[in-house]
Amino acid sequence: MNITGFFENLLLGYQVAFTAANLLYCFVGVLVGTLIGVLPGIGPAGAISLLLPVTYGIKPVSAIIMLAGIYYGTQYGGSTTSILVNIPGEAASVVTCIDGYQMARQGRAGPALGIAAFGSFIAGTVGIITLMFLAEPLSNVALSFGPPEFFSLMILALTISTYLAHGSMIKALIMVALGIGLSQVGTDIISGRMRFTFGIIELQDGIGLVPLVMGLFGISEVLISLEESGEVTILKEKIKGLLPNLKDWMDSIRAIIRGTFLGFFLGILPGGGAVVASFVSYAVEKRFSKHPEKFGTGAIEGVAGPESANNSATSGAFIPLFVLGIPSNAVMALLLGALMIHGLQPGPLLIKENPEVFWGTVMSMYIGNVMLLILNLPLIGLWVRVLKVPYRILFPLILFFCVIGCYSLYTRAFDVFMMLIFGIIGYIFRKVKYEPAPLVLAFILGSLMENALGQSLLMFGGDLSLFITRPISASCLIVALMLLLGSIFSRKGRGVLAKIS
Amino acid sequence: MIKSKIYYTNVCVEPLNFNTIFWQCIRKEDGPMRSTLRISFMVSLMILFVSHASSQEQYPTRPITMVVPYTAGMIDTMTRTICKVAEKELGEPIVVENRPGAAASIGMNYVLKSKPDGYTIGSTTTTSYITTPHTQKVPYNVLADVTDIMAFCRYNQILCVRTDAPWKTYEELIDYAKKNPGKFKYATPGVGTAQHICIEQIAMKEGIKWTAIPFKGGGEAVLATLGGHTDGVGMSSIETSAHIKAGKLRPLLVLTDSRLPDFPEIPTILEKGYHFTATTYVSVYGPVGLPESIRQRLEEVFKKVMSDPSFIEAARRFQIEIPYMSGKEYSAYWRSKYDERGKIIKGLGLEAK
Amino acid sequence: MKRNFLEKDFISGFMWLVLGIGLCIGSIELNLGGLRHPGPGLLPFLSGAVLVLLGLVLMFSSISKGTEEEEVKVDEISLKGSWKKIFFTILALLGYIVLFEYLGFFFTTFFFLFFLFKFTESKKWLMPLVLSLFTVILSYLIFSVWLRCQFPRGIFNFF
Repeated sequence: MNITGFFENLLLGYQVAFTAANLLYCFVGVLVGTLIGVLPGIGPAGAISLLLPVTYGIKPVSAIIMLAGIYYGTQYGGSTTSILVNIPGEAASVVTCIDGYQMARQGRAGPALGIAAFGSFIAGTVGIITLMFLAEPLSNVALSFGPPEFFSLMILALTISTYLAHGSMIKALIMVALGIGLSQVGTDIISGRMRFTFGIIELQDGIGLVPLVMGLFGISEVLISLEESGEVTILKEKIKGLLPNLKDWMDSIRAIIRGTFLGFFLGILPGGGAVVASFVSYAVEKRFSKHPEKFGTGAIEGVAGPESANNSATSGAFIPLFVLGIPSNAVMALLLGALMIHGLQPGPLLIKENPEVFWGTVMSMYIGNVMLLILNLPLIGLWVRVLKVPYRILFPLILFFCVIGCYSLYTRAFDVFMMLIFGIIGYIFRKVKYEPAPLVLAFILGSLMENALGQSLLMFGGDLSLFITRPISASCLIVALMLLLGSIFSRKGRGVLAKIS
Repeated sequence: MIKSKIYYTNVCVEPLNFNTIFWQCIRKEDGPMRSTLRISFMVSLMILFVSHASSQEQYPTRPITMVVPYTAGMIDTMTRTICKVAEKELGEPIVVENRPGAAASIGMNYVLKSKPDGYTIGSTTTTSYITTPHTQKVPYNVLADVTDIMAFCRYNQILCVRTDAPWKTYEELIDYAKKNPGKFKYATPGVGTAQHICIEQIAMKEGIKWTAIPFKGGGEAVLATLGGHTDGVGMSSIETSAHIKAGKLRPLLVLTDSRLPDFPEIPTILEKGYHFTATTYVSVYGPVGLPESIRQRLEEVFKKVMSDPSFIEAARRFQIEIPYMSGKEYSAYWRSKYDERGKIIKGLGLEAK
Repeated sequence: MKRNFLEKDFISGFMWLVLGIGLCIGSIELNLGGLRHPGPGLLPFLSGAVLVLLGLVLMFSSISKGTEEEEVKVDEISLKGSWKKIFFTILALLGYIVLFEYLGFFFTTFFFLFFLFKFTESKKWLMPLVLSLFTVILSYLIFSVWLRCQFPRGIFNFF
């Protein structure tokens, strides 16, 4: 790509994105996205599929600008409820609950929300710039990841997932095993068999991620908070400041950088996208932190990293969509449908034949990120005041939004019922000191891993050595092994081993 | 909203009229009052009969629900398009509801168990009729519980390989597969999908062995093939034509009835002498017991809609064909394929256990 | 205090043992296949086996250890009198879910919210009533009218 051509494209994008209409659509998109993200239960997939028919009458570029705005807007808004009330706005904000909520309880909700917003902005911007320059080469990365590479990557991610645990390692491993077990409910892709569906037709597609996450984290949180008799307050201490201070920035900057690159890379690959990226970023931050014991008590890196990761993952997810015409997650699949409905043919020729769509969207994504930053920072003061609303008024509304969000995804009351079941299970878990976070990650990775394994074995015809001879697959497995050995032979690891034996 | 108010008013007024007059007539009133009452009684009887008769012809009198058993995508969009235009013809809104899950069986179950009054209908594919009941246990019986209204579109499947693959024609591929059993690996969007079954039928007919690798959906299947992890893929032109045009994929065989307008040089499976295809229709249906007059009305309206420019344009964008099949024709069509498909599924070991 | 804690871990360990065994049994039915050609039952079986193993480990560690690994306060485990709120919230949620498609969005949401608002504030009537009504109408406008969510209308076919 030559320089003049590149600047021509930038100019084209600028012209498209800065029309009054498209600026308006961008604003509407990010605003709706933020609100959807804040509301627990409803996530970007649900919101976009609801608003898709609304875009039928408008121009293709404008439709994509608005829908894309909703997508990355939800990543900004999702952290708000995670931090303030320990309930994730959507699946990619689950890990933000862990440290973000603790920070809020210490009166540091402002800095938490602030670093989430800033981290999201930095990650989003870097992601967009990378998208502009490296879209084509990076799409080749997506192509080079076949089932064996994917399997090894999932193994790597699973070994990292053990770092999500704070307390007992045994209990965390039990959660991982349970998560993998739960991921197997439903139809097995490789064989077509139904597993553990107990004759319930709704379980044939498996347990939904949204009911699982909203139940384990949302409903259970409400139930736990209801335990306290008397007037419940979320804030334990006075609010100290509304923005992150210098020390916060110093602590977070590495997390933001790492999260950005990690998230972008994971966003390109099909499968988990922003959700997996946020989990992995948290685990990585904890692993490479100089004070890992602080995680879980309000370490700001535990907010900065994941929030950056899930934002850059959204930028990364656009690469397979625009360059190859292949969606890497459910939201991208909806955007693909939107492109087709508007008469565009997604595929390798999209950028060449309709450059204004790609460049216009990329430019408006940058504008959208700026809008979101400006939108979210002043709102911090507003959200913090929400904490002052008495809990007895707040919790029925929270439950209501969880139910609505869960229901409107597939118009199924069964999903809401599942959410309730997992809410009760999550409540019991918390009472007995089991952490749901490793379960969620294992749940997502479990089915991805199993599918990749099955596909790989079909590809290899039974020859297992190919896992090691293929370069990318081999590197992932080696890193996983190193991490595993590293944690066993570290001082903490030796202590755990001593306790078990 | 306004229309439903009128509906309620109608329902309320009629019986009152009839009852009051009726009971007044029973009680013996005297003189001129009596004849007036008799006349009013006769008139209201006539009104009652006329409006009752015409209310049957006046279907629909309230909004209709169309259940799409898939999330937003081609089938959902085409259904919405056809409904949007049909609304104007029918005079009542058609509300489209998405009820996805369990390979469309949740949505279909909802429609098939609802009242057959023509106010709950659905759209579905041929796969749900002939494949799904064999591969999984469904809570309804397609052979007995379905009333076909009409079929309105059809999508195609193409068998493709990468452009850097050594096989330039379909014959070369078959030749290779015969000499190297199990070596050719093709990606499918899932076990038991139309393309998977069709390609396996080819294998059975030719006596060759090749390996199907199932993925979760068409996107992943195409991605794996582009990346060189599988040798071929069978997917509809919606997913593959962009890559064919970009020179990354080479189409070898069209697995459905007719040649593609965009790639007219690719032969079809029927031309090669096979007697089966991976053709899948999208159709509108209702529960059994749907009154024939209502069914015909819907059939007429939807047929008329198919010549609407917005519908034709939508089909063009998705690159699908829009052949019309009446309810009777389509019903005969898929029923003729039901048993054969069942046998093949059993042969592949995919039947519900 | 020690006994209390030991029992919890022991019980949960035992539960995992049972669940793991159940998972293993269920997965054998699904055909395990071999290591080179895994059947649909292989990974569930392995997960079940891991659960069994870890459940046993947990049970043993809870017997032999004591309170070394965790500091669990007694009052965090027991519930005291606040179980009522939790129980009735779960009941309200269950009722909401069951009746949602039958009575329609409008009514069930209203009753759900009203019940919960009223339940936690047993004296006033007006505030829960007004708040429930306001929330239902507002959310109806946002979700049903603007976002066009598919909410059931219920047998009354109202809203």
